[in-house]
Order: sequence, then structure tokens, then C-alpha cells
Amino acid sequence: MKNNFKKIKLGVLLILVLVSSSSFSQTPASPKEVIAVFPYQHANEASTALASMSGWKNVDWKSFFKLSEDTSLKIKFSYALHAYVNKVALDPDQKKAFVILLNNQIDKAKSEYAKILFQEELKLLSKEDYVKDRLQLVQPKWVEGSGKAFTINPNSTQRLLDLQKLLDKPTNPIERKNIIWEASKISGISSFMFIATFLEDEAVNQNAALAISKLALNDLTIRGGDVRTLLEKALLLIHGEDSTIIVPALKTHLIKMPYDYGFETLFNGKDLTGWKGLVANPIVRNKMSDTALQAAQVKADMKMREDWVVKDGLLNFTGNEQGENLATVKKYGDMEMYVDWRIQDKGDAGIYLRGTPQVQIWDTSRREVGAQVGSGGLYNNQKFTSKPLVVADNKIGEWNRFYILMKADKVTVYLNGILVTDNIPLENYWDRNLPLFVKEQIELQAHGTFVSYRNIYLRSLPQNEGVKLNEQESKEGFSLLFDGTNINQWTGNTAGYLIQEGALVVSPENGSVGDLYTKETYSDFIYRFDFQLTPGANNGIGVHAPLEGDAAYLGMEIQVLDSEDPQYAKLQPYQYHGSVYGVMPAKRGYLKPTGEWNNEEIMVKGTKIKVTLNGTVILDGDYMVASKNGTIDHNEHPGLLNKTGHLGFLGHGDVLRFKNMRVKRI
Amino acid sequence: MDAHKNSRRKFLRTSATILAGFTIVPRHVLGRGFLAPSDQLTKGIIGVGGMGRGHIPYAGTRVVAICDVDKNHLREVANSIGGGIKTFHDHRELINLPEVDIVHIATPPHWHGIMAVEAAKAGKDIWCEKPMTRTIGEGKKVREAVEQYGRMFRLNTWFRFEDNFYGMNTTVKPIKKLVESGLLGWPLTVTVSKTTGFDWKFYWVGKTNLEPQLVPEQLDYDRWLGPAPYKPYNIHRTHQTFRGYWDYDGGGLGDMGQHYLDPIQYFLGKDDTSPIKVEVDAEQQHPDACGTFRKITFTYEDGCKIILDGEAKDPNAAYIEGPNGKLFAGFKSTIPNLKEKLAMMPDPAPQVTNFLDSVKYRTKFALNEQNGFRSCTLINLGKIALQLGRTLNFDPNKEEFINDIEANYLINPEMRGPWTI
Repeated sequence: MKNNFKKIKLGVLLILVLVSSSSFSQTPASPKEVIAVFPYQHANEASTALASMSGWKNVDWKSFFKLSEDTSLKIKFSYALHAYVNKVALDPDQKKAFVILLNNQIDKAKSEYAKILFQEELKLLSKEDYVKDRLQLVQPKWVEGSGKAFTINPNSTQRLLDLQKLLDKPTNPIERKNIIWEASKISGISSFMFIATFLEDEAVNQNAALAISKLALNDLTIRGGDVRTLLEKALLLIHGEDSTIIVPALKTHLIKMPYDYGFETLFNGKDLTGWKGLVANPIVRNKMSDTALQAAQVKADMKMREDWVVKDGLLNFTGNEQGENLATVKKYGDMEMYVDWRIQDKGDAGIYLRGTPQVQIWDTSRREVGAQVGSGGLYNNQKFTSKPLVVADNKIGEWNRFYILMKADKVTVYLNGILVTDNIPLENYWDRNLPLFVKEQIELQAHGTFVSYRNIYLRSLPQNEGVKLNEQESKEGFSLLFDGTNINQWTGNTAGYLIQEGALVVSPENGSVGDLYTKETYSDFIYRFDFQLTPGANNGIGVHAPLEGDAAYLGMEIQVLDSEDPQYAKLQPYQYHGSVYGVMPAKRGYLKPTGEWNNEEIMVKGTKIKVTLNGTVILDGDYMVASKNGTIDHNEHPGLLNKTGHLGFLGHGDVLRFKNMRVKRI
Repeated sequence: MDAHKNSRRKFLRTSATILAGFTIVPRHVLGRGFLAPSDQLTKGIIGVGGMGRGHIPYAGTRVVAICDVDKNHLREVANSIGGGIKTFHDHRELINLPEVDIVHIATPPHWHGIMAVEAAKAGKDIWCEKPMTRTIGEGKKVREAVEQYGRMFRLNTWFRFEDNFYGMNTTVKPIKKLVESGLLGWPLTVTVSKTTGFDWKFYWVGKTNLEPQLVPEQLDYDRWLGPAPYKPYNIHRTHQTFRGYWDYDGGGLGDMGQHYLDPIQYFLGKDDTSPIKVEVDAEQQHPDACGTFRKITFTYEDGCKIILDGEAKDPNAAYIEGPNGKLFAGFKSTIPNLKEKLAMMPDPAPQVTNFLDSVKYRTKFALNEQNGFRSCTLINLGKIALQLGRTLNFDPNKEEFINDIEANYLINPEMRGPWTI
């Protein structure tokens, strides 16, 4: 919640800036111009429009509300109104004023449509709770975690491909109704978009309308500009007994449906809108001047039209040996996408993510290049696996469907509904010392063979842009070990640690058994980090640790423990949180309640160590002095003699979260 | 094709005017996209008494021939249609007419089987009024012939796919969804009675000790009886009141049974099976005239039951009762917000609800010779149990009674010569 609020505040600020800057140069856009923007795909696309609205005078509002009676504009009108209502809901004064304005409009409204619309919007403004709900919808639960991947069902993905194939031959309306019905039992955007193609088919469009409405009502990830347009079409087609329930439910759903994080149709089936030619690679592009880049882009776009051809609703690469990749106009960060592909004998292709090669596509018969492992692997990976888990390719000439989920630098791929790449980091091919780009274009690879693509649907996911050091620490010489997006500065069991909501999650279910260490070594240092415990959680911070062996003895372990959990009631004092395990006990009682975030600082200088937990020093002393007469746990601790070593997380099989790890050598 | 809903109600008032203007219009007059009458499917109707007349004005078909063994019926309807309609006394001539696409059987039930089989053999598609056949044996023969000759068959009751389902105040669709959702649990007991929204129409009872009467001049009584045993003529046996006699139909059960029970078979998912047991609670039936019943209970192998309750003594009876919930008349339920919940669920499998589509695309109609046979078997099982006055055990796979010569005889009772099927 807190985060949302900040973001929205920022948005308002942006709008205010826009208002003030535009008021000097021009008058606000007219109502007709403003509503032309709606419905928009991303929140920022509407900010200019909303800024205009804030600057409207009474006469503008009057002409605005008049548009609600124009049948050709009323849908756009309702989106604009709704977006503005969302905006003023955050400002008590603006809200009050707008409530009065809307109240007046209800009486003035001529059509039933407008009356209901104004009432619905008024409800949003006057019910505090409702507004709160809506804010939560912007970042709802269902986009957290790992997207939709876990609900993917191999049979249903392949079933949908099979159903689509049935349309290769002529069908009669009875067969098409059956196809729609079969597809309606499969959830998700692919099914939604497939069924929606029947909205133009008069013989079956009522079936299609009902089916997509129910799919959308049951799955809030089915949203976005195209989804809206299709659902509005469907709304008019729904007949029959369920319509009395479905139609109002769908109307409400459309009103509540968030505007951001919706699916985009990357390929419209008609032309190359949304795509561009490839210019160099991300690193080179970033170094080019704007004019040089523009000139290169013009050339690249011309080349694109030779190599990439839209025919019969398919996006085809001609197979030109000198062909270049096709790139999206927009850049994408965290996202989930579906894409269908079909290759021919000896075919080779791939999907570049973040401008970087690639999710592999190839003819599995090409053993000479190792293609027998199947498609869907991260081909150019060197450190992490490049091979898919299983071969899930359909026969050459048949369609295949990728589901690709990209979170931070990790990629998950399902091929025809089967998991082939499981949360594997995509390495930066262009400079292996750099982390992966946070946001870049997606590319379809040109690899000298004919390839067809279709059904490309993509949804951006809320992305952690990465935290930065605060000014103070930056001045003091701290450096970040983890910014919430990648673990490039770490080594060990890197594949086993998840990044969720900017935190490093130790999640044993996902294989986080091994330890994770900094790549660099630290001798004298101040190490700061935040951590969140789960009940009974046990972990440890490795200090002066080697990369192998038990760091508690071959280095030092600063205990991380949910000390007050009943199961730990009878531990030795040197086993509780903050202790140098087995060597020096720390003070108890300064952990925050389990589940809250704690902050900790570990300072090591010479043989002195100081641990500060939530602002309280809980351990301060010299570990050589403390172990002069033997350690208190009577075990050998040869690691105490280490002068330097790695920092690490010593996983003991419990769930914990860490973030904001930063360190300074002293 | 929606016309049948209104047809019987409105027919008497409107048919004369609708039909008077009917002439064949050349296609070019109508322009593109219109189906000229000459391109429409053609049909011949056998039996143009009360039922058959209601089926003339369906959209998308053109009546080219009619047949009846009552000269008055034939003349009245021929006059009302006009336009050189062909008339027949012998159904076989109509069936063999080359210009007939669809044979529409609207005779009393004892003729349905013979005519349907002959129509199938002649390469016609068939529209048959309910109940499908008077005996289980005839039903098997129809099913076999329709399959063998690759015909399309529609049994004419429609509640499994449209129209308010009597006292449920809704179509069958949400009931099907409710059953499939598992919200009620399993197995289910369905009770069909006046209190659950269904009237057994016990006025369809036959008269005993009928006085022989003179056969009216316009009626070929011998042909009317056809395969039925010869019994002296009395007007009450024929035309509007034949349902009261076992030889031709089966009383209220024969009249309303397939309307009421076919949707139940559909929503219970029993389209390819039959009950294993039928129990009756009724007065011993007269051998000729149908009477009433207190209760008939069908039990399926998995424990699902259909109870036909003729007394309706329990005003709180549930229409469907399962271990986890009940559904009452008017679609009231023990489950809150049921209609809203069901509306959001995926629909049941689509059905072919337009017989012309079925004919055009050679795809089985929603209610066809297979599932129609099964739901008609429910009626015939009930009739046999009533006639014998005892519990019967049935083998749904072999489609015969288990070790029961007496009951098995009634599956295939002898036909009066020269008629065979």
C-alpha cells in the first residue's frame, strides 16, 4: 500500500508539473481532444490528458459532459471520466468539488447510460473504502510472484493449438460453436484472444461474446486496450437468459478494470505496426547520438520491410541470409508474453529478451548443432544452463506456443505448456561483465531460415527498478551489493535464490539450500542489510568465509535467528540472533516482531566485531580475545584466523528475505 | 424454427391468413441472400390432425405433401395451404415422393416406428413427434435404421435446449450447470410432480367398456389402427383422445413423459444409458384404458433416481435433491445466489438446436434417435411396469428386462398384419 501511494503521488506531481508548464504556452486541450486519448494502455499515457482536465474551466466541463450523449464518443468519454475520478479521489479538495459537479450532472443527464455512469463514478468518490479497493487493484496480488506460469496446463495449451488448427479447414457454424465451447474451458489470454476472433462471425458471435466475457470476469490478468475493445463488442452481443447477470457484471468489470499492466497485441495480423528494424546492439545504441540513431533506424526500417512480411495474418521472416532481427518499438522490462512460432526443415530462430539473445528456436533434428535438446533454452548462456529441461517441440510445420515470463533477469519458458526453462538468469551476451539491461526491446531473430509468428500477446509486469544508495552512504563510500533486481555480485547457489518485490528470498522449496556469497572478499568492513524473518527461521551471515565448507567454522557466522520462537527457548546464549556463532553471545530482545523488517550493521575491524540491530549495539568485542581460552562451544573455529573472505548468506532451509545489502571497506 | 413454440397456441387463429398467401416466388425476385422457397428444404407431413397442423408454418421449410387417413383432415389442410399441395392417403407414397426432403411424422405414437424406419430407408430425414415410439423394440429399430441409412432425426420436444422448463421458471441450462457443478453432490433424486412444477395431466385416461360405434365415412379406421390390435371403433379411441389407450399411447405419462423426462436424462448425463429398476405404486391398470399412478420410481445404476409423483402430497418436495443441497420449483434453492454463481460458469456443451442446420451440415440434432430412444425408453419402462403392476429390473446395455419373459414380451409386442417393422 505504501508503495502504491508514493507512486500515485509522484504521478500527481508529474501532472502538476505538466499543468504549470503547459499553462504558459498553450490553453488546455479541448474535451474532444482529451477523450481521444482514452482508453489508454499505460497510466503515464494519460497524464497529459488528465493534466488538461485539471485546467478546465466550467465551459470546458460543460462541453465535456455533453459528449456523454454522443453515441460515437460515449465509451471514450466514460474512460476519461473514470480516469479523472481516480485522480481527484486522491485529493480531498478536488474530490469535493467534483462530487458536486457530478451530482449536478446526474440530474442533467439525458440518457440512461450517462445517468448510470455518473452514479457509478459518484459511488467511487463518495465511498472511501471503495477508493481504497481501487488503489489496491493497481498492484493486485495476482501480478505478484511469478506471474501466471504456475497455472499453465500442458494439455490446455496444446488443446488450444489443436483447436486453432481445426480452422485450417472450412468449418460449419456447428463445428465452430463446438470449438468456441472447447476453448472457453481454457483460461487465459490466449484462449480469450482466440475466441474473440469469432466476434466477427455472425453465425457464432453470440457464443463467442459470452465465452470471452466469462473468461475475463474470472481472470483479472485478462485486460488491456484490446481486451477492453473486444469486451465492449461482446457486451452488445450477449443475449439469452444469462445476459441479465453477465451484462451488468461485465459493465462493472470494465469500470473496475485497471488501465495498466494489460496485454498488448504485439502483432496486429495486418502489418508491422509496433515493430522496427534492428540497429546494432543495446550497448552500441546507447552510445549513439540521437541523430545518428535516427538515421540508422530509417535504414534499418527499410531493410526490415524486405525481410519481414505479413501474409495471411502471419508475421513471416523470409529466410534471407542477410536478414536482420525484427524489434519492438517499445522497450519492455518485467513481462509475460505468449508467442506462436512455426519453422520449416532445418529452421533456426529465437526470441531476444531485453535486446539480448535469446530463447532458442530450432529444428531438433539438427544434431550437428546440438538442437536435439529442443527449443526454449537460453542458448547464449554460459554460466547458467542454456539447455531446456525437456524437448517439448511440436513437429516441424506445426505451430508451437511459448509462454515466456521475465522477472528481473530471470526467464521462465513454457513450450506448448511444458516447462522448459525454469527461472534461469539471462546473461548479458553483449558484455558478460554487465548485468542484463533492465528494459530493452524484444526481438524476433533472423537466422537465415523461414519462420512464421502469430498470436503475440505481452503484458508488462510491475517492475522493481532497483534501489539506489542514499546520498549519505554514497558519500561515505558504501557500495550496493544488491539493488533488488539481480544478484550479479553474488556467487554460489545463485539459481536457488528468488528475487521478489525487490527482496532476495531464501526459499528452500525452490532449492535455496546452498550458500550464497559475494564475489568479492572483504577484510575490514561495515556491512548493512535489512532482513525479514518467518517464524522459526534460521540463517546466518558469513564473514571472512571461504566459498566452500561450513562457514560457521571455516569463517565466522553471525547468527540470524527468530530467537523468540518457542522452539529456540533452550538454546545456548551464543546461538541467538547476532551472536558470532559458538564464539561470542549477543544481547537478546532487540528483534522486531517476526515478519517485520529489521536492519542490521556488522562492522569488522581487525579482530574487533560490532553488531548493531535496529539501532542497538547487541554485540561489541574482540573475537580473538573471546576465544583466547578456547571457544565457548568447545569447537574448533579455524576461520577466526582468516584475515579476509567473502560475505555470505548461510541457508539452513528456512524462508527469509534480505534486501538493501551494502558494504564499505574500512 | 422458433415457430413451434407459438404454433399450437396461435395456429387456430392465424394459420388461415398466413397460409393463404403462400406461393412459390422465383429466386431472382428476392435477390441475393434470400432463400427462395424453391431452395428451401421441403417436407411432407403424415398426420394433419391437431398436432400435424401446428407444424406447417415453420420457417425455412416448405410443405409439399400431406397425408392423412381422415379425408376431412386432409381436405381442410390442403385447402388452407393451397398452391397445389400433394395429398396422400397412404404414408408410403408420401415417403417415397422424390421432392420430399424431410418426413414429418405427426400421427399417434403407434405409427411412429414403422413410418420412421420406412422414411429412413427411403433416404429421408425425419422429424418425429413425441413420444418417439410406442414400444422399446420399435425405438431400437428406428435407431438402427436412422444410423444405417445415415439420416438426420429430430424428436420433437425441446426443453433440453430452449424454453422455460415448466414450473422451473428457467431453461434447463442452469439446471444442467448446477448438476455438473457438483454443488448438490451425488447421486441425485429428481421428483416430477405438481408441487415441483410438473402436471401429470391425468385427464388422459381411457374409458372402459366403450360402446362400438359406426366408423365415420371420412375415416379409414383400419389404416388408422395400422399395427395396433383390432378393436371396435369408438370415437374416443381416435383423434383427440387416443392417448388414453395403451394400444396407441400411454395416458398422461405418454403425453407429457418425454417433455418432462428427456431434460432430466440430459442434465443427469444419462443420454447413453437407462435405469436398472422401475418400481410402481398404482392401481392395477385396465388392459385397454390407461389409468393414473401414485408413484413411479426409476433407479439408475449409480443411485440417481427419477420419481414420477402422481399425488404430490408433499408441498415442500424438492425437484432435485442431492446430499449437499436442493433445488425447488421456480429454481429456488438451498444454495444462496445460485443463479449468479451459475451464470459465471462455462456453459454446457453446445447443442444443434436448429434441425435445418442438422440437415444441412449432417450433424446430429440435440435430441436425436439415440438420446431420444433413451428418454422414450423411460416412458416405455414406466408403461410396462404400470401394465404389469410390479417392479421390473432392466439391463441398460442389453436393453431388455432381466429374466422376465412377460415384460420382455412388451418390448416387442406382436403387430397386427400386414404391418411389420
